[in-house]
Amino acid sequence: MTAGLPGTGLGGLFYLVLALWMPVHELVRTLRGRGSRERWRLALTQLDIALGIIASVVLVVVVLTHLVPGARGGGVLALLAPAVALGVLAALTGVVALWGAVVNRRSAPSAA
Amino acid sequence: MTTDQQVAPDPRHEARRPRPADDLTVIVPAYDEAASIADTVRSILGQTTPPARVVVVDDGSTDDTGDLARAAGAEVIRNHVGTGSKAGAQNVALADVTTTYAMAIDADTTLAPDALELLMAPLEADESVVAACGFVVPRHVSSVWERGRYVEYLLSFTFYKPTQDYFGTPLISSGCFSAYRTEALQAAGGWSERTRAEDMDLTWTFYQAGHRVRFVPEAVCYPIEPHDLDFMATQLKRWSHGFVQNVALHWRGVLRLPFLRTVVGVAMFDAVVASLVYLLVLPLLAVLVSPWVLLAYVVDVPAVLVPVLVAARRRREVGRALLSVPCFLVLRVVNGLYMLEALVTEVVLRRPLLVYEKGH
Repeated sequence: MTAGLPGTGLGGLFYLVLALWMPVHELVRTLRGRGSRERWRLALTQLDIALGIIASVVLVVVVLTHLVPGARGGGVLALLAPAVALGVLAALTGVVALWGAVVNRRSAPSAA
Repeated sequence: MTTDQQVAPDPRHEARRPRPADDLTVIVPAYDEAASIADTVRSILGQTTPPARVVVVDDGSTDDTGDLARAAGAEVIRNHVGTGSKAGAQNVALADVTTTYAMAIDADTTLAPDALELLMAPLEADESVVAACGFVVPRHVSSVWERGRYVEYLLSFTFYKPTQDYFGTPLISSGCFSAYRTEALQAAGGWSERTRAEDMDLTWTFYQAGHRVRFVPEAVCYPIEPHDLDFMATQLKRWSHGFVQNVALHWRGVLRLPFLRTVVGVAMFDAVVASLVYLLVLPLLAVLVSPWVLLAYVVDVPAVLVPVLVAARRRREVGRALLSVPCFLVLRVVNGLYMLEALVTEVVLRRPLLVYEKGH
C-alpha cells in the first residue's frame, strides 16, 4: 500500500473509504465556514479516483464470473468478499482506536 | 477620453521580495556518488529560487565525489572517517546550519526546476508546518525493478499520500527530498541513527511533538532507483527493517494520534498479511484447491491501474505506465519476502538491523 511496504488491498480499501468520505468531510467543513477551494479540488479528485477503482473492481468481478469455471454462482461471494474486507478493516481500526484510548488513559495524569 | 496610465516600476529601484529559499540550506549527504553528484548540485543551483547554501557532506568517499561537487558549485564538508549512515552525514552539516530552513536531498536525486520553490510554500505560509515533502518519480525507468518502483510511486503519491495529506498526516516525509524548519529539526535532535529509516523516525517524532507535515505533489524530484535485484534487496531490507523498528520505537506515541495510529496499524497489518498471502497462502491454495487461485496475484491490477493512469496521463507517460505494471506485481511479491524477513529478524529473533547499507 505505501511505497516500500507490501499490501493485499486492505490498505487500498482503507484509502478508498477515506477518499469516499473526503467530500462529506469537506462539506461539513464548508458549512462550518472552514472550506477551501484547494481542499475541495483535492477531495473531488480523490473521489473521482475512488469511483474509478470501484468501477474497475465491479468489471473484474463480472469478467471473472464469466471466465473462471464454476464461478457463475459466485455472485454471493463477490458481494461477500468486500463486506468481509470492510468488516476486517472496521475491526482493525476499532482495535487500534481502543488500544489508543487505553494508552491515553494510562498516561493521563491521575486526579489527586 | 481619458486613459489610466500606469508607470512601470524602475527595476533599478525595485527591491526584490525576500523568498524562503534565500533563508535555506540544502544538505546533500554523499558516499561514492561521483556518477550523480554533479547533476544533483547543478539541479539545485538551477532552481527558480536557488537556496542560500548547498552543502555536500562527502562522507568518507573513495572516489571524486567531493571534488565534483565543489566544481559544480557546492560547499563541501569532507568527513574523512565517514559516519557510516545518511543520518550521520546529514547531522554533520546540520550543526553548521544557521538559516531558518534546511532541506535534505539525496546525492542521486535531481529536482524539477521549480520543485524547491513549490516545496517551500507551505513552510512559509504556516508556522505550524515543520516539514514538507514532494512527489517522487524514478529518474530511470528501464529495468524490472525501476519499472516496479515507478508504478509503486505513481500509485502511492497519487492516491495514498494526497489522502493522508488531506487528513493532515502524511505517513512519511521522504528522506530523498524534504524541507524542514531548522529550529524544529534541531529540537528533534536532527536525523536519528537509532533506526534504518531516519525519515520515518523524524516524521513521527514531529507528529508526537504536535507539529504538522505537508505533502506537496507539485514539487517533483527524480531519484535514481535500484536497477538490479542486489540494490533493490538492500533497499527493501533497509525500508522493511526501518518500518518495523519505527513501529517498535514509536508505538506508544503513535497510539495517541488518531489518524496516524490507524494508518500505521493498517499498514502493519496489511504488510504482514500480504507477505503471508503472496508467499505461502496462494501457492498452497493453488496446489490444494485450484490453479485458478493464482489469479489473486493479478486480480487487483485494474484497481491499481486507475490511480496509476491518472498520474501517468498528467505526466504524459501512459504507455510507460502500462508497460511497467507487470513489474510492479513482481516487486510487491519480492517486497513481501523482505517484510517477512524483517519481522522474523526484528521481532522474533530480536536481531535488529544495525548497519546502514546503501542501496540508492
